[in-house]
Amino acid sequence: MTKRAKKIIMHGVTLVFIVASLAVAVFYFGDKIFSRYGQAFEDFVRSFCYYFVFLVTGRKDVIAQTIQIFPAEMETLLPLSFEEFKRLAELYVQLFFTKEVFLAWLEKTLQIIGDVAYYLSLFALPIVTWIIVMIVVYNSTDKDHNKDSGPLRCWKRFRDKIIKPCVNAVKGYFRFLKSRKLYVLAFVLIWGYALNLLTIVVEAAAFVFYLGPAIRELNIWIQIAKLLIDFSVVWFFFPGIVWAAVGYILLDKWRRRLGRKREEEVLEDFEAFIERHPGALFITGKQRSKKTTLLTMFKLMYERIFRARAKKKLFYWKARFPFFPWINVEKFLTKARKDHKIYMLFHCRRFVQLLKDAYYSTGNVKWRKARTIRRLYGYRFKNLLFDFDIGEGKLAYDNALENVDIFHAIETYMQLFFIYSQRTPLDYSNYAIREDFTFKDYGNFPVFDGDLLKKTTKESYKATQYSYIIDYDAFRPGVKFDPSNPNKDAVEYGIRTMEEYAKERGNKDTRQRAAKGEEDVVATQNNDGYELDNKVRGQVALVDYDDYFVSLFDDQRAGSLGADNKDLATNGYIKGAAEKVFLLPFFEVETALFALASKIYFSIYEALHSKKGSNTLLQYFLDKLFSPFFGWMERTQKAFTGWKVKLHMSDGGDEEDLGFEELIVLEIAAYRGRYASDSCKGFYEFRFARSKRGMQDFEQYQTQRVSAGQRQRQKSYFAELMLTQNGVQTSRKPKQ
Amino acid sequence: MNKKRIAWAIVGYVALFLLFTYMAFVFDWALQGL
Repeated sequence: MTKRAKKIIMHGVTLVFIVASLAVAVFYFGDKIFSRYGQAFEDFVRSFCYYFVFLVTGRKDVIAQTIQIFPAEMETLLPLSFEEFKRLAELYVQLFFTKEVFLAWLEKTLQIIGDVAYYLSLFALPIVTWIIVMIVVYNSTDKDHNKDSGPLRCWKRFRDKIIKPCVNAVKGYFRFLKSRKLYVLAFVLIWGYALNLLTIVVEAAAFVFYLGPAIRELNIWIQIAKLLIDFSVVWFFFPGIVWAAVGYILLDKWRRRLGRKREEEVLEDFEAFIERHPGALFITGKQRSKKTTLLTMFKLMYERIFRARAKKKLFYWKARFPFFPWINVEKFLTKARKDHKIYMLFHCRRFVQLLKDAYYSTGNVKWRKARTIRRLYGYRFKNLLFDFDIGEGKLAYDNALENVDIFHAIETYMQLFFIYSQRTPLDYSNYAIREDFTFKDYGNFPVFDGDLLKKTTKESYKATQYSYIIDYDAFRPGVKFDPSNPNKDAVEYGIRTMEEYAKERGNKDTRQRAAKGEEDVVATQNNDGYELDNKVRGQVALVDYDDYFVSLFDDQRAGSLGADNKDLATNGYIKGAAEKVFLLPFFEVETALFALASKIYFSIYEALHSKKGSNTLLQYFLDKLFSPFFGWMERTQKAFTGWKVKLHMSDGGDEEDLGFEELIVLEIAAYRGRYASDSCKGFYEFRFARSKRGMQDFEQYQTQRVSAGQRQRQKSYFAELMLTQNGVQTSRKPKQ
Repeated sequence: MNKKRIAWAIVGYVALFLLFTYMAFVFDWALQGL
């Protein structure tokens, strides 16, 4: 069939559908809805005029409204006034507690249960027979690896010849409709009309106009009754199963929203924790106790807290100097940063110093200084205040403590904006941490979006960025690994995140010592001055009274870290992290169904997988049914699962017991490819690469008894001691 | 979620469902009476 012929057919089919819809609307629904349209439009026109006449004249008696008149031909048992409602409610409550009604309901319920049991027993025989047949049929074995069985081939042929063309035709038709908005509009209008939805829309609009002026004399019962009667058309048109599906979808949306809200509260708990324990954090705990997960979570939170703090302060400066063109400062800084003219907070300060100096100079000196600033930083504004119209504002601000001048404001604003608008993560770390924040940027003020919960997997991974590789030399004021290291002076602010930190710094017993004569030349933990840097680092990153530097680190034992490091931090020992919490409410039925379905599916799979090499029809259908359910469940579980982490807090300085804290680590935030929990594997990979042996090449015991030779082959100190003392030669060999 | 909690929740849902059917039944009864 040619494309043109296909199109003609589609147009023809659409016209037939439209005519059929029209016929249904007129002949099936016509009587029920037609008069309501007239009334609704009259209500709307009158309410519309009523509103505007009231606005202009202040009178309500000019236009008679009809919206509060219940049409005479509409018969209803619904209450039309509060008194009626009260009477009906009393009657209802009375009936609710009447024995006779209850017994009648019980009888009906039992009857329904009896009916269901009857039909089940009726179908029990064929179902059991079918199961037996299945067991017999699928009990044979074969080794036709990955070949389709006869029934499966048959089904696939049927699918390809019959089902696929039908599905494609329907899909093609919807594609055709999608590109022709007029047809879609026609369907929407016809069915909106037929199902009385347009009446509801028009009545709602009429109500909105009527409500304002007449709110005091409103009889809401009439509106509710009208709405329910209007809605009854669509309610009775669709079968119960459709409403059940709609109900389930709405329930699902509602409970997910509740779950998200709980997760947001969990993140707020993290923020509150950070406020209670500002500054360096040292997390300790046994292996697999989620130390680094927690550490990563803190890093993610600090990233967001730093940006939020900076943004808040930026807005404060706007309020202090409302007419200063801050957008010019932002755009200038963005450009200077891009051109690598301003690449540190230090340059912001130096630039403003030069600007201020030039501003307060006069004559030729001023001109010369302004030219220097232009050359150095690409500053192109007409005056030295970013085109600020001084007539519109002021050059100083009294905050009750001091008189802040505009240059101090610019300097602070630039530093804050420098941190806030940084497009890359704000952290240096010794393991890779994935970030997924974005900026909403229309070319003006970029808005930071660090949402950890709502991003889809695709959105999150599209925004992937990893943390900066830490260069410890930047934190060594003393001897460095590499004295000519270009990074050595480059760190000002940021989140310093380090796993297995004690292994890096050690304690007084484990620190490395330089060889004799090299004490001041080769860097060791004793001569690099790192701890000294630690103590003053916070001051370096202070902007507008907020500190934009923090150290976060973990290790297994607090005792492995020297006191000079440990004492500066708040210590949190993980007491437990194995309790799983599920934050999505009302999900028990699905969980139970899933457990049952999994059990059935996996046991059938195991049986078929072991007996059959071929692909069977039964497995094919089970896959089609179970796999989407499995995916949906897994995604839902991962999105709402958290792990309760119990921390025993103590102050590093005076060892004061700070009690217990409880945090929930969310999988959606902390496990979204944030870091590799096996990042130390890198140290082992090269060893594995050179190995010629695996586990299967090791020697196995032959009996329950261990021989002396086997003991010796364990390369055990204990065995060596036992054996060499009895005259056996040592198996140790000297290092080559 | 632990099994006990799920079981209790499902019992709760069934009870809620029965309550709704009873409420609807009473409603129906009331309408017939009117």
